[in-house]
Amino acid sequence: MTWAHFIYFAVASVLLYVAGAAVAFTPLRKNRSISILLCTLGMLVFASFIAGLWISLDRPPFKTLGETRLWYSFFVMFAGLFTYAKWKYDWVPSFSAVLSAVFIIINCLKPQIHDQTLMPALQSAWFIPHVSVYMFSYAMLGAAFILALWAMFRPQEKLLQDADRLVYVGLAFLTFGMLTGAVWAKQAWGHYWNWDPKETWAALTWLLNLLYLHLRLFVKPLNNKKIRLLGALVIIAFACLQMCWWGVNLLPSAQDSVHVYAK
Amino acid sequence: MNRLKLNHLAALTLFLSASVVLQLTVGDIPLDFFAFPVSLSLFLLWCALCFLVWSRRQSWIRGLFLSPEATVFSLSACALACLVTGFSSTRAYVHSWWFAADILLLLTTLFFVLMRGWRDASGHIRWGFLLNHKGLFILVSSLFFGAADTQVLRLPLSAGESAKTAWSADGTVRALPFELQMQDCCVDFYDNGMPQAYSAELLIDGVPRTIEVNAPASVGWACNVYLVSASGEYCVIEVVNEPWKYFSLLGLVMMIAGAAIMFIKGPTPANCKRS
Repeated sequence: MTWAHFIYFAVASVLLYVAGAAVAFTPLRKNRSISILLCTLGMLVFASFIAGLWISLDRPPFKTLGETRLWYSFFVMFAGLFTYAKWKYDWVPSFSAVLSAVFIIINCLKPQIHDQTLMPALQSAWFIPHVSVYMFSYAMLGAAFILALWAMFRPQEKLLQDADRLVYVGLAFLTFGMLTGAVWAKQAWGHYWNWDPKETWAALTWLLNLLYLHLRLFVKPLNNKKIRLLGALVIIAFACLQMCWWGVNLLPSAQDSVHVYAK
Repeated sequence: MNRLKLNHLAALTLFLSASVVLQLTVGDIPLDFFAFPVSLSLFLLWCALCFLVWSRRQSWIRGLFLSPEATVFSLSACALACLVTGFSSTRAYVHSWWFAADILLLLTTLFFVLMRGWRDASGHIRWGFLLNHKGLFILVSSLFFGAADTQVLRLPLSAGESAKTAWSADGTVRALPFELQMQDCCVDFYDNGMPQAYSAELLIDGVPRTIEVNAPASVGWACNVYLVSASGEYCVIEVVNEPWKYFSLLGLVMMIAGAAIMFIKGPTPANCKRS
């Protein structure tokens, strides 16, 4: 399996996602399992490409931005489906499908993905757990971002309650990712934490999500203004997450970062 | 937190403002001054001071650090510090007094929150809360108070060459706690010319050791020897002496366990009830 085959898997997956998302808006939506089944089939098709690529590269596809986008496309659909199955928002599968499709299209247009090499620092047992839990956390926080965005237009307490659950799961995985990264950094470079630009933005993302969860405990009762303010915090935290993931590469400080492996 | 207590916010702001004034008057923190035994003494003194305040039940400062304002303010201050550092082109801010004040504020808040207890109304231990908060406290304390005791030295070594000194980041020559001699270093390349693996055969105080990227050698209880880079002719070695690293690791492990509980349990019942 090579990147030349990606387009076929991508088209099949996106079609299945779109079909699943569309069903969620039809009279068939009362039976959510049809929508879930179609989206799950799309994810299976996508996962089979990831598995095939992993085997053909002879290393886990976590290295380049293109490869991490591949995982994000997968996990964002998973998080959306999880949210839909659990809390029944009809619009979530379509939003996740669009988000996933955007990353798939970017990979089709500008992949930077043909490099099979893995630099020495990345050859570690921590590589797979560190990146995969991060991608999962990004997807969960992405789903929370969608709910927060919705809350900005239609402020409802229930939206925040559902966002809480996603932020909890996302933050737990973000913590896993940061701490496994810290242990790995100690093994590779001698320091658990070095305030590298990427580490700093990861800390900021983590702190803002932590701040949100603490404010959810303290701020009561809620009114529309407070719901919007809390939603805005989730949105800002997600923006910082984007900075941590790829935006940091655009900053001048990225030149000194030990975390920039491939453009 | 329906009405923010302005006196709480004012006190916390005053504390951070004092650190900014200190920064403007004396410049960055002189890290060397705070090395052991000052670091340990300061840590113990700070703990004793916090405990003393905690034990005075009517104390206004105790009320301050147990207030929601302190939690929100300390998290916000740390987030702001990260934001400024994230946009800056250097890491100079992390050695500033105001950055240290942000971290100290967070630690002090954590100390008081932990002292308040970690049992729920029915007397059961809240493991998620305990592991996350205590783990963070131990991790950040060890990195913060142990920063001055962490020594990072680098040296280039050619095959057959030995050394007893190395350079710190500011260019100062320091004595190594052991003698290093390089016997051989080797680099494997991919077909496209990218390095695939580095390794170096060293004699550390006469004992043969092999180091690779991601596989440092431990020397004593506090010291690790890392391979930073290598060419066919020489390699760059980094020696990191970090006596507080075991506390950091303990905090990390506790937080990983805390995150696992966080994932399994989801939002706390208190969160659901209050929201």
